[in-house]
Amino acid sequence: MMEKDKNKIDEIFRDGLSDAKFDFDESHWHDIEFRLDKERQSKKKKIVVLAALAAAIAAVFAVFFSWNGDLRLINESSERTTEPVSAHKEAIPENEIADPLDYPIVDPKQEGTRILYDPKQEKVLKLQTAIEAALLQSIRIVDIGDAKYTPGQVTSLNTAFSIPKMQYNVKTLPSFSFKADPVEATANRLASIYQSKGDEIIAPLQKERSAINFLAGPDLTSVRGAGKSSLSENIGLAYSYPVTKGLSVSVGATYAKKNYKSAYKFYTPSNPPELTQLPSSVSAVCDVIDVPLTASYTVLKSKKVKFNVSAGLSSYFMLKEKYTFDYEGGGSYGGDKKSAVYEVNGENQHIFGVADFSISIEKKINDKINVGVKPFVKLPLTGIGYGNVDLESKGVAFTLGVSL
Amino acid sequence: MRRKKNIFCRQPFELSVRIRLNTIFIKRKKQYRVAIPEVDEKSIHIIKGCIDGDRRAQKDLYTLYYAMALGICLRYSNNREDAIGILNEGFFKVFKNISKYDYQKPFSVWIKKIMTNTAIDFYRAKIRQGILVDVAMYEQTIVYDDTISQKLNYEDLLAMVHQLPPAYRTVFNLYAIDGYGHEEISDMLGIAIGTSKSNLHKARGRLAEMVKNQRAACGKTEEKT
Repeated sequence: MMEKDKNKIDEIFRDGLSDAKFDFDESHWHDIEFRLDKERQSKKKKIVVLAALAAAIAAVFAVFFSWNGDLRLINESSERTTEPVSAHKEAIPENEIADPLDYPIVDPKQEGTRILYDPKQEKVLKLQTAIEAALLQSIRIVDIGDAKYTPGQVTSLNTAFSIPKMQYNVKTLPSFSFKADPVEATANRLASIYQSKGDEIIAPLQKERSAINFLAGPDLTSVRGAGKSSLSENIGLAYSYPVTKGLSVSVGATYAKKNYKSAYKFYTPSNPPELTQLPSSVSAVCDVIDVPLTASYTVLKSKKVKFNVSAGLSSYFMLKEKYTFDYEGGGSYGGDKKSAVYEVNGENQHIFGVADFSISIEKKINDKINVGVKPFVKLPLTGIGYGNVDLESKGVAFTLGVSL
Repeated sequence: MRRKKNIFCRQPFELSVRIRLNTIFIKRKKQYRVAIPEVDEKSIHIIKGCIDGDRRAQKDLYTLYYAMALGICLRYSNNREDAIGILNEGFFKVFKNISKYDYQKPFSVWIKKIMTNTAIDFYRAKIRQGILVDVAMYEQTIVYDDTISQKLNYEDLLAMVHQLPPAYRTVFNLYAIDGYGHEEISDMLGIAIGTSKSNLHKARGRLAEMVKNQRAACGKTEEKT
């Protein structure tokens, strides 16, 4: 009986509430239409930002590879040089001791040898000869002295040795005679020649130097979630100090004029004013000193171009904050006044309150100076300014670096 | 050779034809030839339009399901204002996720599910605060009256449902009106099955009381007239 009664309650409400009839209310549709429009706009904005970001990254890579063309040429030529060696690798069993007499000696001065000449790199030549091979593989060098050296003999290199790439200056190509010179002297002489020339020709391992970078550029500043971005300007300088190979830390100071606009709901001031009517939106203009502390890692490097990724933390020192509160329909401030201005001077500091990420590409103009572009994004880790808003910045800085 | 089974062979001829006629094949991006037995051609065009982000199609869909969706939202909410908020939040989810709609299922069921979940999310914090009470304790407290079988109008019933705390109201709606079991309800709300049973019982008790009072009030009014 009890169960039946319970079901009766269910039945009454199921039947009574199921046949609801409501007239369509256009105002409800307008609410959702407004939200859909907003969503569409923010989606479009996201696409534009992503496209811009993709274009920026593509441009950075394009610039990097176009500036880096010389390096690629060198690499290609070195690859070609190693080919003959590997082609002959199977000709001789691995453990067999090679006798240089079995393999004809190549005269690099003769045409038709395997010396590759790169017109762009006049001095740099790669050469593998049987003599080099003999020296490097510690073969019975005494036998070399007895070998009959025939300078005119030109044949192709036929060796299975794993010969390292050697760089050779054709103008200073050493001439030596195994018959005339003692073996030890020849070996030492060759070693000293290759050592000294190699050091000169291979890009010398430059010690990383500290540098001062001047930077300037625009960014789009917005309050996270507000969907409105405003153009802001940055100018500053940074000092970078190399820590290890490829890794450097930098510290700097950037003056930024940050403009941003958002609805008042994104503001959560620590000491909110007593308001009879909430503002509909707030426009802010803030003078900020941004002190970034970042670590940079050189991902790609050529003679003239460097590609770095950086991450770090920024501290914001708010010099001056000017907020304009806008009220819909005039607000409670009386008369026709539709906005109120509130200024804060030097009250807010946010130590390491912003995460800083950037990529940069630098081109060396000369030994001292380089120029570069640096797309960056700054994400808040804490509320920024009087309103404690989540202030984001995405932009590009143009840099001028001076090595010290 | 194994013969392919024809699903229509088992159906009576008339039913088979009706299903064939109602089965519409639509083209949805690259997923071609999806059968929609319960969605008519007009709805298909509207859904397609919504997938493409066509604002007119979105308005048509909103208009078409407005009454049904608002009815659900009103049942689950505290008041009309909340119901409108839930309604638009639910429709926003519908428009955002319409490309995920499974064409094999009725569209109205899909919308209903979204509205229900949106309403649950709206009151989730309050629903989870429901305290587990021994069902047996409440079995005896509910007093039923024969007069409650008499038909009450929609507004009265809705007002009674609105008077229930969200935790009771949601379980009552899910179990008594929408036909979910206690296990499903416990999963949906993140509460224990015992809590679900307890809340249902308390909801029924309170509603029975309200219906009784309502009848009594109506009786007095009739006597006066």
